[in-house]
Amino acid sequence: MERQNQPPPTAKTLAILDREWPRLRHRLIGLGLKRTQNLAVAEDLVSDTYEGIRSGRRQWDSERDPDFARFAGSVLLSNIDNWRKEAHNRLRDRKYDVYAHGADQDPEIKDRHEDRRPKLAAVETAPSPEEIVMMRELIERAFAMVFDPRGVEYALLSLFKRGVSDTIEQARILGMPVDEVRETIQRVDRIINNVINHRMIS
Amino acid sequence: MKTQKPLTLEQTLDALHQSAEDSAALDEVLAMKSEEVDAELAKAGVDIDALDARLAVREAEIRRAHAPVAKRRMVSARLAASLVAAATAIGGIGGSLVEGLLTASRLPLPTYSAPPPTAAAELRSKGFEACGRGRFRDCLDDFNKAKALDPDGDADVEVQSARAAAESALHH
Repeated sequence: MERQNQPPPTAKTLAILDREWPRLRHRLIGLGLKRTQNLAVAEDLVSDTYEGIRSGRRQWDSERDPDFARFAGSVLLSNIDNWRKEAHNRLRDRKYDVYAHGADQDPEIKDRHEDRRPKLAAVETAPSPEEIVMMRELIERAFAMVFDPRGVEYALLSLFKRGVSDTIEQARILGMPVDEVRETIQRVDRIINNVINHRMIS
Repeated sequence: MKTQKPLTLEQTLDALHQSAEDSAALDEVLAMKSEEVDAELAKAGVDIDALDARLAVREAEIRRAHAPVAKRRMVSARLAASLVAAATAIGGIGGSLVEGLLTASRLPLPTYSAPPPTAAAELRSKGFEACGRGRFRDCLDDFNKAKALDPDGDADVEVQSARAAAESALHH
């Protein structure tokens, strides 16, 4: 997100960036590679992370998020989140193009379609529409039982529902440290997985 | 901000799960030792030296692009030098006025140093671009040509970093 007249990074941020970056660079590439499966994309996103911090576009609040390495990692994950959304939108636009102009053999869409073919055999073991509806109700009920509707978990889920999936942005909206938002997301995800797994087993 | 159609429950849970996995991956990578990180990268087929070279060049470009204070100083120095030249040329009242303005704005009367020759700057720019694209031989050739035109500019820390990175990549 570009901001007009953004303040420059503080001297402290620049000093820590210069000191910590050589130690962080490979870790961030490793993280980017793991989450995008593409080295060139990971390099672009890590360079964007560096640029964001050095330019002041990504401001480090050392009071709220004291760990610089985690801050840099969060900026990278935010870039990855944007990259995913852009990739998703590009693919969606190309699909519309195919609908509008007929089957034009778009290679990417065709490949994706081909990729799914071998998995069709698994459809027989996939849940039925009735089971999916039951599962949905179960998850919604689990939410109502486990989480306070006025609590941060509900607020977080409603942000995800509105398409706000960038943790830095969520933390900004909720006025929470980024790390706390991450912990909450992991906790909620674990609980939902437990509900689903429990339902699958029983 | 764009208004977006709310996600379905499945899409919401997918996004939540992806975010949880992102966070777990961040925890994991930060807990690893440097050697473990490098070993994983190498296992994934990454040439670490070439990677470092590419990143060093891009980071040097970013540092250059975001050095506003230095740029402002150069502009002020050039502007001030032009004003001094103008003052010398017109003399008398005009000159005093310009000198007064310089004093009032607390700009020191600068010792003007000419910018590097344009051809050398362009060659260095091409060199940085070549390094950024992994064409390290072209990168060094451009820096060498620039050095022949402007030897002092070669001592620039960013040129030296890019040179070192390119040489390291070529020797591995």
